[in-house]
Amino acid sequence: MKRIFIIEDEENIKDELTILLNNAGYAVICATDFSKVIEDFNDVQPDLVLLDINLPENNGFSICTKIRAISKVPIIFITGRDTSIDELNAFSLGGDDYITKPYNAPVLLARISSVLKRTTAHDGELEILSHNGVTLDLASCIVSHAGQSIELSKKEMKILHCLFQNKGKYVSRMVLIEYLWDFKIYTDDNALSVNITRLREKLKQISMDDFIHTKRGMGYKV
Amino acid sequence: MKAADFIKDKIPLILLNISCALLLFIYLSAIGVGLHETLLILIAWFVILAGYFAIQFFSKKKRIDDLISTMDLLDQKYLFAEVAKVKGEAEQQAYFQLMKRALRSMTEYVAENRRDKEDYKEFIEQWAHELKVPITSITLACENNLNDSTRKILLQIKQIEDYLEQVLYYARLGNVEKDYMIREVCLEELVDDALSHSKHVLIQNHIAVETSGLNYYVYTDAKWLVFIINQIISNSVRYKTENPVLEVYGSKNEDKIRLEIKDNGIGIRDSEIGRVFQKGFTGSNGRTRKNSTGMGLYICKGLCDELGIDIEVNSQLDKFTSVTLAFPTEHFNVENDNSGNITKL
Repeated sequence: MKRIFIIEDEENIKDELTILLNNAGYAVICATDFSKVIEDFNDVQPDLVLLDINLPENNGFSICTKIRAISKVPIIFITGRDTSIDELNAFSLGGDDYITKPYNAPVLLARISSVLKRTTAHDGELEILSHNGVTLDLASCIVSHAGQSIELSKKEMKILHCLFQNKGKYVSRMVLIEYLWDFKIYTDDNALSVNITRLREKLKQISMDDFIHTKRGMGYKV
Repeated sequence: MKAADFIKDKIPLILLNISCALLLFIYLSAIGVGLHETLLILIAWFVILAGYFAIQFFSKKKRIDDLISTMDLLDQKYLFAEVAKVKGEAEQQAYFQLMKRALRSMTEYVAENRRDKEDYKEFIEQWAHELKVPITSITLACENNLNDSTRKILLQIKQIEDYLEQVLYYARLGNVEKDYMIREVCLEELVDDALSHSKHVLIQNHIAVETSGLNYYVYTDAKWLVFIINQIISNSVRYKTENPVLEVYGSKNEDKIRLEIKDNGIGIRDSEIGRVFQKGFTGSNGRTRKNSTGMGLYICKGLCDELGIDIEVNSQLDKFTSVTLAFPTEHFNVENDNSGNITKL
């Protein structure tokens, strides 16, 4: 499990970030005493640092410099300061990314995972999912069942991926649409219906007739 | 100062001289001085008078020309009284002293107002920055607990965020210390950022989004552009009709790369389309639908001007509105432009 060290002084944001990152499968440690952040950092040995700039007793830029002196850990600045000078400063001091408040959760998670992917060796994320005898290969977009397999479009693959991640639970259409948007697939209600129908037809071809269940007002389930 | 104006000022004096000359002429004739001698005296009189006027005219004209050139050289015209040197008659000096006092009080007034304006601007900007903290925590809290109610809150909080951004970008307009960072950026990246920012608004308003041809690279400031695109999108959402569709596509022709954002909304009247970039212009659309400040497109236009982008609006009432951003394809001339922090990353 990747460990993320949060250096942020706003209690509310810190709490929500902790919940968000825990839900996304990261371990979270928050800095409490800003005068000895570096000591804390050494104790924690995190895989990634989220760093605010305006801090009591200390400044994000100087913390970044101190961390860079001892470690190559990826650092993402999360700050309300939005001038180009601050951004430039952040990158020149060795920051890996710069996100301005107010940010939203999917963007933050996407940037964290892309920085982690860029800076650490790929540690074999689970790329083949299976459920009820149906296997979904994320890398090649292929779904297979009982020796038969069929290729899916990117959109269909993402829909099925989202359903696989929530096995046994109904996923509402809204959640599916939002999920697709986070992968830059700009779909709307009507298009989603079309895609689900097409996905069902493809599943039928590999003799999985009723793999996706529908419940009115609840959504879809595998 | 023109000669005619000078002579006009001297009319009473000229009339006085003419009547005195007339009296002298009558008197000299009466005491039997010959006509030749009389005329000689009168001619000498008027030659001297004309000479005096000429000298006076040219010296006055020179003085006034000097003052005019002093004024022309001044950056702040109201500082004139502080730098001008006025020589001359006591009466003129008195007028000048009065003017100087008036201008001095004006200068103080201007300085005080400028200070007030700066203070106010600083306060508003600070305030806007501070609001970002609670907005961030509300956004995260809602996204950690997504349901129908929090989705509604997210929608509203996005609205607040948009208004806040307007305040911050408005403050940047026409600012001396330009705050942008020019780098090469893909249209697709800009559009994806903007769409992800407006995600909840677009999804919950059931807007179908179509993107195409965005694989072009432009030199610009990504943050400003995302703000501009978001303003255009939020207009499209505000003025949507049944089955709303938003098309975003890029194209390249001649020397420009274009990004067009087109909706199938209520459109803009022909009579109003020329004024959409005016500050505070809301038009008939803004009056019939609430939440229109008339500032969005004005700020967009200002930012586009700073970045060298042509922004253009086309529309047909009840059919569509399309906003096109045209980027110059030539690279920015970094050496010759030192007005901003132009940095290539």
